Amino acid sequence: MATTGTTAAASQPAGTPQGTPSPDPKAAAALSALLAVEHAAMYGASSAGGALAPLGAPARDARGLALAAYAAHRELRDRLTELILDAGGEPPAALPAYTLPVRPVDVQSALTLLAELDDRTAAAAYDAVGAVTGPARELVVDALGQAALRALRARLTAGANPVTVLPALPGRP
Amino acid sequence: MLAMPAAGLAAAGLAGAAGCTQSLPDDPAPPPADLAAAEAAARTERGLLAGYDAAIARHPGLAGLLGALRAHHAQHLAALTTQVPALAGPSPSASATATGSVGAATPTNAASPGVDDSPAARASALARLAEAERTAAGAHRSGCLSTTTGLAPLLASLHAAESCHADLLSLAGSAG
Repeated sequence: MATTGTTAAASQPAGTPQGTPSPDPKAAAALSALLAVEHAAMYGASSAGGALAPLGAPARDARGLALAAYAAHRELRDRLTELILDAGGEPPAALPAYTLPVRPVDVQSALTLLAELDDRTAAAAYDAVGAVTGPARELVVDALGQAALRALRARLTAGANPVTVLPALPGRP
Repeated sequence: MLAMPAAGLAAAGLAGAAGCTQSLPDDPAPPPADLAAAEAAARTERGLLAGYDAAIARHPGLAGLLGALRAHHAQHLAALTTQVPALAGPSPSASATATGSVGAATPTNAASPGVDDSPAARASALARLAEAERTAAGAHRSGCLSTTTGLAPLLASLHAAESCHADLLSLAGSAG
């Protein structure tokens, strides 16, 4: 049991020298804002995957991206939840449903949705990263980097021009 | 059926801004840790600019992609200088020594520094730049972890940008 991904993070002694977490309202608020975005991203990635499910071989690459995105957002959700509790905060729950920025009805729109979800994760990570330190900052900076990479891959898979596909400063308004 | 809570993605995104505590450009002098991190990041960006300049001169066939990525690095340097104006002052091009190691000016085939748009030369240039971008991404990540709050968002964004550059360059290299 102790080898499953979600329980591994409970073995705190590895990363935190200070052992007992202390309340940090500023960090908890910043991480909670990012967590709210991750709840929505999971909903959106799941919607994209569901739209792609019946589309057969032409949608295979996009399905792979949707599945990977869902797993990554879920992992980030779980890590954020732990860190918010450690910081003495109350992790926000997911809403029952979200308004999607793009309605996924085919491969192109599903890929566009996936890219936009990760743009939002990148932006939320950018907003949060200065408010946290230590392991939380590591998590958030890596979340920004990975969200930017996923958005890039989704856009390239949708046929975007590699020369113009990237923003100069991912996550920055 | 999706019309439930309009709180939605947009609201969640807006809420993120509440955690935004970056320093403003007109802040007074940054703390020493931030200045050191900013200087290191600026050196990294100058090194990448030099690497792209050399690669673009040598491989004109790659100018489209490399020119776009080079422009990003110019923006990165500008963003650093805007946030830490002290960077614009005394930064001699002595950093060029450090930048040479980015691998631009040292073609492995030791041929003339002229134009070489052969597929092999282009592939090796793309691989060298991808490696330099990966190194830069790691350096910006370290800088982000060591700095105080003010510079952390920019360095995190630079980390993400260079990671994406490395990915694009690797894809371009494997596509031939």
